[in-house]
Amino acid sequence: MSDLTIPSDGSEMSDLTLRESDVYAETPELHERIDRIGFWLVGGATVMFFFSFVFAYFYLRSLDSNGLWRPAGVDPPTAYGILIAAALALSALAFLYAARVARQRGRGWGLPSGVALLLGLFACVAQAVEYAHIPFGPQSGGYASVFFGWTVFYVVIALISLYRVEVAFAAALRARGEEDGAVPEGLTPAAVYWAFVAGLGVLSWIILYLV
Amino acid sequence: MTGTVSARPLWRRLIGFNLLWGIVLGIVGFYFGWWLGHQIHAESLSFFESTNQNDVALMLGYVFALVGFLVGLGFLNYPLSRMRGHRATQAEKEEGGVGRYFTLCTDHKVVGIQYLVGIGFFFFIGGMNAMLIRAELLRPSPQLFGAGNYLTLVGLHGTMMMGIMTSGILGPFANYFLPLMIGARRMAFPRVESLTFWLLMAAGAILMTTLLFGGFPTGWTGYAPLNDEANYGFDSYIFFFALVGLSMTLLGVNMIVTTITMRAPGLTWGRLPIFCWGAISTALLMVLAAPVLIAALLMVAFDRGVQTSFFLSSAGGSPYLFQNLFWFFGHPEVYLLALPGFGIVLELLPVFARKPLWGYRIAVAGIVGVALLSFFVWQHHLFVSGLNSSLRPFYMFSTEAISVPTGLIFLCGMGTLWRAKIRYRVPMLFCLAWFFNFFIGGASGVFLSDVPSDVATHGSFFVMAHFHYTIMGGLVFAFFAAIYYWVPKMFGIALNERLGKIHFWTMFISFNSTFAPLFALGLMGMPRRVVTYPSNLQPLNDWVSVSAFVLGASMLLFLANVVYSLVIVRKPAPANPWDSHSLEWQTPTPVPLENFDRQPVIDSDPYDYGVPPVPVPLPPPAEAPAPG
Ligand code: HEM
Ligand SMILES: [Cu+2]
Repeated sequence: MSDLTIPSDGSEMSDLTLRESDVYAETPELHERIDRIGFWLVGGATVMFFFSFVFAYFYLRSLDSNGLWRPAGVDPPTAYGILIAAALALSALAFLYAARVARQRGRGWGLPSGVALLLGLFACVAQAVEYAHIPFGPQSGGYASVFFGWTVFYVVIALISLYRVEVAFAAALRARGEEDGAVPEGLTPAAVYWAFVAGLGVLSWIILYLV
Repeated sequence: MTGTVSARPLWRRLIGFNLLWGIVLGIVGFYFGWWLGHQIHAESLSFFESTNQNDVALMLGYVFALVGFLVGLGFLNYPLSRMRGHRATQAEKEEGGVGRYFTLCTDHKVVGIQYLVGIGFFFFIGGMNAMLIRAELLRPSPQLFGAGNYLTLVGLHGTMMMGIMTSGILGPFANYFLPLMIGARRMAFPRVESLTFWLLMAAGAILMTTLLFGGFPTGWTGYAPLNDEANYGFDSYIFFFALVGLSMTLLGVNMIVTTITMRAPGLTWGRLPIFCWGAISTALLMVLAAPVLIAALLMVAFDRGVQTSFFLSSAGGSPYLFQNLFWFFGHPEVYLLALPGFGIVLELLPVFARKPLWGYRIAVAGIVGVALLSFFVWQHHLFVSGLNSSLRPFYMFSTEAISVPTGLIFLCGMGTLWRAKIRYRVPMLFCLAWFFNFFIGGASGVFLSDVPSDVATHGSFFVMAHFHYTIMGGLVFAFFAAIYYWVPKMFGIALNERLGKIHFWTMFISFNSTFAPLFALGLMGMPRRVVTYPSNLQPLNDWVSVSAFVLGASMLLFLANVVYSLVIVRKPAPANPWDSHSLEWQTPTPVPLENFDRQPVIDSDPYDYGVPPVPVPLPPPAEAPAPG
């Protein structure tokens, strides 16, 4: 076996089979645990990232430099905010449901994952559309700065987090027709993390639109 | 196995996912992003037309350069295969000779060596910048560089050192040895491990390109509002530090998860080697602090690119926002540089003192205590900035409180040395020097945390002396201790002891003779980052510069030792040259791909020196319980 025979698409490799037969084999529980703790830490990092924007929000608001924190008319359309937050929340619920079904029955997680993926993508697109219809621009003062910075990077992080949702969905598609369509490892931690990110999205909505 | 690979002609081996294609696609990506940036037109970008500086184009250039680089190295293959529904796998390109050092490799030992070489390279560049700075300061008035270029030079030196050396110990040594020390055979996220390395290399290259764009005027701290006003070159700073931040965050996550989940049976938290404690405390700081830096830099990018006003008080923002966010990251950052050093020193002391580590639990408490406290002190960097002065006492107190856990670590070190039969080998010399240097660095820090004396010393060369004592005297000395100590394991060949001692003594003496006078220069009013100084300070400055050149030459001595020992003589090292009881030395050299052929089980402390050595017993294969 040479490194060049390892298929670059990452499908089954002989290396792994070899490991599974020896005493040192890694259990699925270990992999689940790795994912769970990994997501906790990534969650901590995500919180610190958005904490910076929360800090910017309250700090600049309290300073109100030159009275330009939030000039009149700098109001994002509430309808969009509600739409985005609702889509995120529903997407998170759908994916949590997918993980639960997979845990209990070992199949049937495909459809809810697909729904979660669609709703998540919808939220991101809706955010982009909102930018086109918003009555102010990034140069309209402190609030506008925070609004744009925060929401743009929220979308970036949401898209990255949706990766695992897509992976679950794709695995379900590929498992179709197979007898034992293996549940992808770490589905539950991934679902909890996505719910967490979506929760941050709802929190963003509360701070940016309501407070 | 390797035979079949190396039988292929070179040109054939160059085709595939590797550094070469990473660089090619990176360059293509850059030009694509640059072009794309010039195609975008929007109301908030119209100001570019009047400045002929299109920051968006440069930023997109960097973004696409990074994407191209990662695609070329093969980082997208796995995610794309998973997105097409394939299963999770753990390994990639672990075998195949030298080639695996130039690509995405998931063997933690390869990544450790990649880090060592990569970091060494950028450390060398940062060091060369320091030599240029000192050459300029030989005379009180500008001679080699103008004021602006000098500022860029100082900024490049500081930024490169701070960014790259943060991973200076975790990158090479924790990646290589933490899994061995805890009896694991891989890191928890092997691809992420490789990603952190390549991100760091991309970052270093990007920082160098600032020279093509006129440099940046802010020093390593990137303060507002200068960061909003600076030329093109500041975009390189933004991308450098943001990528470093990303690399650190991922590195930290990986270290912590590995330590929590992959420890061998019997390796309880109370038996975890102290180096691992140092590594995971550092890792925790990385995970929690680096994202704040990333966010702050993205805000600057927005200010510069799309005209938001996070840091412009004339438009509803505030420069203090940046200063606060930066130091909320920045102070933990300085402990990111110190903590791994604590870990190394306390790890090596028992080996060379032939005694158990004195007060293991106290040492752990000290390390974790420093890590946690470091989040509550950041405003000591802003004492004289004009921020609310009623906050000063709190930050003064919290800063001084950090000396308590730090003191505990010193105490444990001294307790270990107490009445020990010390073996003065090269790694030990570096550890002992660490105590000397870090003590001076720490004690001078008290003056900076004290508001009345900070008012006098802030922004002067006193600060310069203080932090070079902690970072260079602490981190870099520990770095060299680790190199001398672990190179026999990594390469199977020890570095020459005599040359090592010569290196140590030149480095130790010239280091002190370079940086101790800076305290005096600072007190006499020499400011940081300024190309000129009062002419009565010239004699002292010349002394410092000459010492600095000797310090630079001592690094060449080290390189000579590397070439002499590892390339010319190549004398195989004994299996356990320091008689260490730690787990990493119980594996064969070179360490096999899977590290241990069976699951090790730990039933003793890592530091049972003085008692007869206990071999690590191996359980009968079938009974091995799952790790964790
Ligand atoms: C060869 C040894 C070194 C020498 C001779 C040296 C020299 C200097 C000098 C002269 C300055 C200040 C210039 C000025 O403010 O006008 C400076 C700044 C700095 N150095 Fe070093 N240095 C060395 C190694 C290091 C190392 C190992 C690190 C960290 C790992 C480091 C980190 C810094 C930082 C962060 C700054 C501040 C830059 C700024 O003001 O933005 N240096 N160094
Ligand atoms: Cu500090």
